[in-house]
Parts: sequence; C-alpha cells; structure tokens
Amino acid sequence: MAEHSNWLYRWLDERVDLQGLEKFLRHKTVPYHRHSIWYYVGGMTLYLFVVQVITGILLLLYYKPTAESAYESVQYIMTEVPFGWLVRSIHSYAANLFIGCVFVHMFSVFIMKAYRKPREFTWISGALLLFLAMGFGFSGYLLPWNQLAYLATNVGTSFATMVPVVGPWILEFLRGGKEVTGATLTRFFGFHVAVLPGLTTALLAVHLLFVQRQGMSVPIVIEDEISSKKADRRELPFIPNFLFRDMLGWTLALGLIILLATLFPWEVGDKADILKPAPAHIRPEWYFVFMYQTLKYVPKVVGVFGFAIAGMVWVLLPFFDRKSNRGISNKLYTAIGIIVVAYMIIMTAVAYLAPGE
Amino acid sequence: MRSISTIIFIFLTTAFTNAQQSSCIKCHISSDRVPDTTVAAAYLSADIHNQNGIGCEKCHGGDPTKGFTENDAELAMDPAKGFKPPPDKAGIPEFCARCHSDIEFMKQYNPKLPADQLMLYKTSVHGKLLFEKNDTKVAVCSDCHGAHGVLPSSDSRSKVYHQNAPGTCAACHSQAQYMAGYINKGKPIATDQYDKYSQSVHGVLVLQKGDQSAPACNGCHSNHGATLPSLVSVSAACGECHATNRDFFKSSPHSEPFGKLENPDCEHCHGYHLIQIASDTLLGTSSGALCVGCHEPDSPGYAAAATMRMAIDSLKDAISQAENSTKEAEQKGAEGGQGRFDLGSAKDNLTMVRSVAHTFDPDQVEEITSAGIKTANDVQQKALAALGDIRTRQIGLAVSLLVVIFLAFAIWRKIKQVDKDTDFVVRN
Repeated sequence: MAEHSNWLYRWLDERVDLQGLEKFLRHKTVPYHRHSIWYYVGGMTLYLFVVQVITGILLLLYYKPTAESAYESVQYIMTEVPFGWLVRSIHSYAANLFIGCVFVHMFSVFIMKAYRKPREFTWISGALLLFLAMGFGFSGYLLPWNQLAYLATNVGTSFATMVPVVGPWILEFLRGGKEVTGATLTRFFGFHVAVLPGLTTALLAVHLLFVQRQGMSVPIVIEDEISSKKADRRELPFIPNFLFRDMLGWTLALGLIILLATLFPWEVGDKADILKPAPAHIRPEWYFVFMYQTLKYVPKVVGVFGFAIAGMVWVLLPFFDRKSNRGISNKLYTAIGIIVVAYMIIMTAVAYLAPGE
Repeated sequence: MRSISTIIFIFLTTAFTNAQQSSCIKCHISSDRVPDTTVAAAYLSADIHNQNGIGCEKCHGGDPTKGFTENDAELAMDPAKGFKPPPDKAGIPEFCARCHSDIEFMKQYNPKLPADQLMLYKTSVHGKLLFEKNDTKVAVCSDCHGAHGVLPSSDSRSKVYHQNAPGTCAACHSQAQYMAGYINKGKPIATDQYDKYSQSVHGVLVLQKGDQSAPACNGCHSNHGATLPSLVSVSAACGECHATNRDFFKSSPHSEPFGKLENPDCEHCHGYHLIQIASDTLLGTSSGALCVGCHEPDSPGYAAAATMRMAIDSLKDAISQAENSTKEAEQKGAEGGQGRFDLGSAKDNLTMVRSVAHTFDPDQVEEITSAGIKTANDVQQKALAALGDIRTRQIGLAVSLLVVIFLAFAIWRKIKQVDKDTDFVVRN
C-alpha cells in the first residue's frame, strides 16, 4: 500500500498499530435493510454534539458568566465579535436540533426494540445521555441572562421543591440561594461548561463502546425475514459506504444550520429584570413543554412524581420487555411508544396553539 | 315602615360619630318631623366635619342633647344656648371662616390645611362683588364645596376635586343668562370657557385622562382668590409648569414687546382656554407659522424664524432617517438596541430645542440641533453599516450554501460509486 511508504505512517504504526486499526475499520460493517435510515440519526446526534463543543468553546472566549455582564457579553458577541452572531446562532440552532435528534434517535431505537438483549446497557447509557442533553438545554438557556430565560429558570427550578425532604435543599443547590440570581447564573455556567460536558463525554464513550462492541441491532421483523429465508442478510461496509452517507447528512445539516443562523439570527431578548412581571403564557423550551403543559391539568406533585417514575421506568425499559428480549415482536410496547410520542406531540401542540389552556 | 328604615339608616351611618347622640340628627333625618331630610342625610353619608366629630351645634349652636325625648325641638334650638338660624348667602364666607381662618383650631384636624381662604376670597372677583357690591349671585364657599356634604378636595366625589373643578366653575360661568351683565375689559364676560377648555390640551388631560398635573381652572385663576390673570400673572401661571419655556422667553427679545400686547406673553402665540399642543408649525415662515404675522419677508426676524424652523426640521429628518434605517436593520436580523439607545439622546435634543426655541435665538437653536443631528447621523451610519453587513451575510450564505450543495452532490455521487462496487449480501 502506498501509505506504508510514508515514514510518518510507519513511525505511528510501530507505536499504535495503525495497520490493526485500518484492518478493523475495513472489516467493520453496518446492517443494511429497509429500516437502516434510523441508524444515521445517532451519528447525526454525535455530529451536532461536536458542533456544540466547538461553537461552545468559541463562545467561551467572550462570554462572561455574571449577572452584571452576561447579557452585555452576549450582546457584544452578537454585534461586535467577527462572526460572533454566526457562532452563537449556530450554537443555539444546533442545540435544538441536537435535542430533537436525541429524541428521534431514542424513539427509533424504542420502536425497533434495539434496546433488547444484549443491548440493555446501550439503552440505559443513551437514556441517561438524554437527561444530560436536557440538562444542557436547561442550563444553557439561562446563560444569556435575558428576561425569558430568567423567568423560565425561576419556574423550572421551583419544581425541585416537590421532592420530599430534600426538595428545598435541591432548590437552593440549583439556585445558589433562595432566588434565581447572579449566583444561579454562575452555577448554571459551571454545570453547562464543566459538569455536564464531563459526564456526557464519559457516558458517550461508554455508549459508543457498547455500540462498537455489539454492533447495530437488526429489527426483529428483519431478523425474522432473514431466518425464514425471505430476505438475505445484507451489510454495508462502514468505510466508506456508511461514512459517506453520514457525511452527506452532516453536510446537509450544516447547510440547514447556516441558513437558519443567517436568516434568523438567535435573539438576545431583553435583559433579565427581577422587578418586571412575567409576560402572559410564558413557557419553557419546546422539549420541556409537554411536561409543563401536563402540570396544568394534574396536581403538581402528581405530575412531577409521575414524570420522575415514568423517566425511571423508561431507563429500565429493556428489563420489562421480556418478549422482545426473546426475539419476539412486542406490539404492546410498540403501541406504548406510539402513544408516548403522540402524547408529547399533542401536549406540545396544545401549549403552542392554545397558550391560555 | 319608612320610619323603621330611617332609624336603621341612622344607626348604621352614625355608629361611631357624635351624630349618634344628636337630637338635631334624630329630628332632621325623620320625614315625620321635618320636610327636608336631605341636609342631615348629606351630613351623615359623607361629610368631613362629621368624620372629624364636628357636630351640627359647632356651626349652628344650640344643644343637641335636648329636645328629642321631650318632643320639643325648641329645647335643642334654644337661642340662649347659642342657636342661630342658618346665615344668608352673603354671610356664608364669614360663617365658615369662624373655624377655617383659625389656624390653631384647624391645625388640630389637618396641619397642612391653609387658613387664608377668607382673606384670599376677599381679594377675588367673587369676594369683591359680594362684599363691595352685595352681589349674591357670586360663588360663596357652599356653592363649590357644598354645605352639609362637604368633602375634602382630594376626594373624587368632591365638586372641587381636580377633575370635577372645571364643571363646578362652568355651572355658573357657562350659563349665558346667569352671567349676563358681568363685564370684562369692557365687554360682556365670555361663557364659552368650559367648551374651549374641554377641547384644549389641558382640558383633555384633566377631564378625559384624569391627569392631576395638568391645570384645571384654578391652576391659572387660583381658587379662593379667583381672579382674571393680569398681564404679569398669565405668563407666571403658565411658567408654574412650563418653567424653562418661561425662562427662555423672558430672556428673549420678544419678552418686552409681547408684554405690551392685548394678549400678552404666552397667550399671544398659544392662546388661552383653547390651548392646543404646540407643534413645530407655529414656528417659521411656512403656512400655519405665527412669526409671519409680525415679521415681514426679508426682515431679520423672518430669516431667524426660517433658520430655526429649518434647524428643527433637519433634526427631525435625521432622527426619522436613523430610526427607519435602524428598524430596517433590525427587521433583517441586526441588533439595533444600541442605536435606539443613542437615538434617545437625539430625541432629547429635539425636546430641548423646542423649549430653547422660546429664546428666538437661531444660534442657540442650531447649537442644540447640530448636536442632535450628529448623534442621529452616527446612528444612521451604524444602521447602514449593519445593513451592509447583512448584505455581506446574505452573499456569504449564498456562497456557503452553494459549497454545501456541491459537497452534498459530490458525496452523493461518491456513494453511488462505492455502492456499485459493493456486494451487500452476507454469504456465510
């Protein structure tokens, strides 16, 4: 091979076994069937996470995490820093697309029962990554220190008081005091740029390691077709076929984000003012809205505990779905998944279309 | 039945007042005993005197503890105990002043309440006509304040409450028949003041918007010392609120000649009673401008008027342009907050120059408008730069999208190419 004549390749190969890695990648394949489009959503999520890390680091060069200067520093980024508007807008749009992809990835895995034995840990690490992603969203939303962010954080953190015994302590831990103040901002900044990235990187490594070790799951229906000889087992070489498809998606996603960021730069809003009253029909970021809307219909304690229990059940789902674990199609769980998705969409739509309800 | 309800009414309304024990009230609230119960009812329902424990006998004399049980009103209204019949209209000012001119007495109830009402009243047109010409058609205390339902002027139900005062004055001054025979400056006194005032900038504020800071009749004419503002007091009355305009005007070359006019000072340009919001059209040489009424074309005053108006118009244009550009830039996605903030300073200049225009000094006017125009132009430049930046962004976007589309197409071609060489089926 031509590369072998390269002294750098040889130098590295002697030390880190490049040939071994090359051989491994050359032989790595991905299942190829009519549902394999969903495999690309995980890669898209990872790509958007990388975009977030890069743009986040760039924003860190100018952002100041104090109540006195956070808003002004974001304004400065948007108006004075060369391409600051682009970097911040990409960070904001990619954040939302990232969370959207996490949800799509999770529900596609759910519907295809990819969590079934032996991939329980992949599912659990993925579900925990979803919570971390929402934590990123919640903490990042406050950082521009504008009025909407301030009020949303006020409402969001107040749910901590529902937790028995330690609720008030959690509230004070999150807020850095009894109220949402500059202390909360600095704290959320710490969560957003240190705690959450650290945890996410570690958990992501675990998640990818499991994906790598176990390969991608083939849906039961496809497995049944293969075992009954109705279809061939088909696989796609990871390099270059799958990677090119991934890259096509990433390129188009980049185009979409640039388009949005340029035509609709992310707003700075009005600076947070604790004396200003909350505007009517205030709501959190879209991915929290289905929960926020639910809490309007049920007692808060019931709602908060309901979601906490549902979240835990969701994480441990592979251990409940024994039928799928035996390789048998479980239509009940498919129905549950569809109902959950429908519920989230309807609740979100109600909140946006009838804000007073 | 009527008596029972009357007794219940008395009980409820007088529970904690002296009136509860008063035989005056007991009789005067009962239609069986007196023909007119409204006097006592007004006193009981809302009267500042009743609220302060000042009973009927404090004004009328007599003994309110007597008469009711004995069924003999003469015992309560005993001249030996100081009872006096109500005063006639001419006696009312002195009647009220027995307490209201006594500073020591009034201090007990309200240390801030003035005690000079009678003194002022005697200097008023009303007071002079009453005391010097025995004209009882004029307003006395009870005409404005009421007699037995007297409310503090801060009470919105009072006839002398700020928003109600013009209507109270108009009750007499808008009646042509009632005012017939009264002369002002050799002419019959006008009766259209209320109509004009209610259409004026002040009247709209007071009557429609309840604005306490805008003047009602008494704001210019005084209340107890009600008088026609004299040559000096007109601008003094306006200057109470429009202080800077007054000071600039006093320092202007117009101050002296305007003072000699029939409608002096402020009135000459702004009028009275029907005062409208002063617009920039009053200044200058174009249609609607007042300066041309005196200043001939080619005169220095004419040129000065034109210069000042042009300076103000230039500032307004600069602000308007900067606002439009900033708005356009904002609509296209640029941040315009700083521009809007800076524009506030130019708008301050505009407010200031409209006041400084009362100096009628083009140099002073231009000094302020120049500063404002500079600020507005700076904002305009920033907005134009932002618009240019947006244009650059759009070009950048188009180029980026072309690259993205080209790249995506190239990758798609590559996928097709590599797929052609790939056998997807796994053969064990």
